[in-house]
Amino acid sequence: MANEIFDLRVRNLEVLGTRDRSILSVPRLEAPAGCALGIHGPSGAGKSTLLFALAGLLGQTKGQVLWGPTDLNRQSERQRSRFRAANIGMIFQDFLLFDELGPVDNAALQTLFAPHARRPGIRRMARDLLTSLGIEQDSRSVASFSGGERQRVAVARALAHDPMIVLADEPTASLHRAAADALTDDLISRVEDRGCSLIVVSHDDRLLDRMDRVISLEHGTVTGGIAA
Amino acid sequence: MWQNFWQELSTNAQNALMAAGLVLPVLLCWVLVRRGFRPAPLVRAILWRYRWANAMFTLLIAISVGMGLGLIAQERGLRKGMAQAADKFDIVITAPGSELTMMLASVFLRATDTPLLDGPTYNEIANHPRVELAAPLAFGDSVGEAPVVGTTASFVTHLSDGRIEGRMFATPYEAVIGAAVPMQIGDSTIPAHGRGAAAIADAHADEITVVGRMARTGSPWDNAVLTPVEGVWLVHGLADGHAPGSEATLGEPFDAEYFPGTPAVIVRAGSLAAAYALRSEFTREAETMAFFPGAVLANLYRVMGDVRQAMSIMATVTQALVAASVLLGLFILVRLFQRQMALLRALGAPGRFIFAVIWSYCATLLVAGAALGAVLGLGATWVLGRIVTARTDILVEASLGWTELHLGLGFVTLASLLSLLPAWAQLRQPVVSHLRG
Ligand SMILES: Nc1ncnc2c1ncn2[C@@H]1O[C@H](COP(=O)(O)OP(=O)(O)OP(=O)(O)O)[C@@H](O)[C@H]1O
Ligand SMILES: [Mg+2]
Repeated sequence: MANEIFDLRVRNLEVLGTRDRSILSVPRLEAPAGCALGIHGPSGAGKSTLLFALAGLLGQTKGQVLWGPTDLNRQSERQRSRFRAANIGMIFQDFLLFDELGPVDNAALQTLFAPHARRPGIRRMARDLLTSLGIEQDSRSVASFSGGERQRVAVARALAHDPMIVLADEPTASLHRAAADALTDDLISRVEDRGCSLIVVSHDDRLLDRMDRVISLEHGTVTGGIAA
Repeated sequence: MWQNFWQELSTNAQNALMAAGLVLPVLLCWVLVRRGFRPAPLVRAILWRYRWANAMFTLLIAISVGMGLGLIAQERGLRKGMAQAADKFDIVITAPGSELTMMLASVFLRATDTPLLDGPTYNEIANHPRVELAAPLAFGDSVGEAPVVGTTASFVTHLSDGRIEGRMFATPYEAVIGAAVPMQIGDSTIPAHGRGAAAIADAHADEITVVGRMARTGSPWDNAVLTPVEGVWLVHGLADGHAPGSEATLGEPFDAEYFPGTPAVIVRAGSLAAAYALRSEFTREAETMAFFPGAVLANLYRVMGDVRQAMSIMATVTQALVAASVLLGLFILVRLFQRQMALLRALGAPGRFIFAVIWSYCATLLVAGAALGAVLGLGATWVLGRIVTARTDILVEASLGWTELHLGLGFVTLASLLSLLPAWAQLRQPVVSHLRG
């Protein structure tokens, strides 16, 4: 089931902030494809930074971020864009929706630049996801959506192009318990049924309980790894 | 060979090709930058989210473009209007003096004291074989704002191309009015002596009656009351230009001995060659001066041409400054949606897509601004034209010509190409710091 071209191996990752302060230092981290990895830690620990690094958004950082054979840190801007568009679905901590667009247009944002052939599929998937997440698909713009509704639109956007890697930053923070559990089920089933890799930053214990493995980050370093 | 090809094209074809050449870079950019992408929904979203900033920016572009276009259109409209107003006046013969003053007095009916030509001189002109029409003029009175101009029936027919509602005057006390004079056919009035504020109301006793109205000529003559020259002379107690016994005659021929004098003779020649011959024949030192009003205007424009050139250098500098501020404005506006662009890149959008969104947004503002500017410029020209026409009766028409089109397109093209810069600069921005907001 697992697809080893998406095995994650991080080696000596160093992210420096202003004045060369180390924000994140990860000597070694592994997550085979089809694995659900949870990350928790106090605010400012570097959890979001780690997700950005795994998505190849930090530019040339020190060390290696290997997804299977691909070292994102050695790739050009263009190659990393392609890799993200094809393989990574990101759920951002503060959603980042286009307020002027409706839920479907937001969830299907990738259709604006994806290859023609893939567009209808992405749009269909976006609609299905919104339905299953309980978002009404009227043409109202998402500006008037509640926090929880916005979070679900952001989830649909991350999954609409059917990525093999899902990086989620606090995906259940704005959801009530039942919705959070439903989303957790959805994300876990992607891992179990289809061999996707799931890396989730969360403070939600019910979500973390269902991960294969949970690591904790503190001051930019991995301080504990609990095997589930 | 290319030069030949170009020269053989009609002016319109040349202008159209130039316009096409000016838009081509933008169209090419539009197609190349956006190929394979669908940036429109995002461009619309950005336009809407920052609608006030965008509207202000568009308006600023519109005003600066509109002013540039309006000035050019207005200048051309005025030039055309003046040329058209002078069109019926082939040659003017006056006593020696300043051609400009004489032209303003005789063609544009500006009140000035002018020396007179006597009867023998008038007759020499009128009887010249190359002359088709020689009309004496008489000024001095007014009805309200309208000057009373004494002349001949044949000149009124020439001036109005025979388009007269009612009929031609048939006695010294009848009048044909210009299209803009606020009187009706059948109205009677006693003209005041003099013009404007200095006019004396009760100086004359004789009433004149309006019997006809000329169609619009687009010249100051639209605001004149035209009577037989004999009428003006008689009212002022002068001879009426005809020997005793033939008082019943109206208009040509005049008797030199009873001719009180005329400040100007409006002459129509049979041909261009005849006009040139007449001009040189009646250009006599200390006696007469003959000139083509069209040529005087052309000279005037030539003098103004130097000023225009200075102005056009200033205009170019201004346009460059406008383009620079537009560029700066775009850099600032683009910063407003850095976060959205960072998001798109995080989602894996190719750089060219981001580029397409930003550039389409910039180009939309520029095109909208320039189009609005064209409308504003045309509107301003129209309003100014109306004001000039109301003040001078010189018909100034608002129209956008090729020059303005080229200028507008040139601005759009230049500015759009420049706005590739902010689009490019956006691509250099770090993604994550904008994602964090
Ligand atoms: N460009 C930067 N320069 C310097 N410091 C930075 C930069 N970006 C982030 N930081 C700092 O790095 C630390 C880690 O930030 P990060 O957003 O990864 O924290 P987090 O673990 O996601 O916290 P939270 O739970 O509050 O979201 C913070 O202290 C932050 O202020
Ligand atoms: Mg965070």
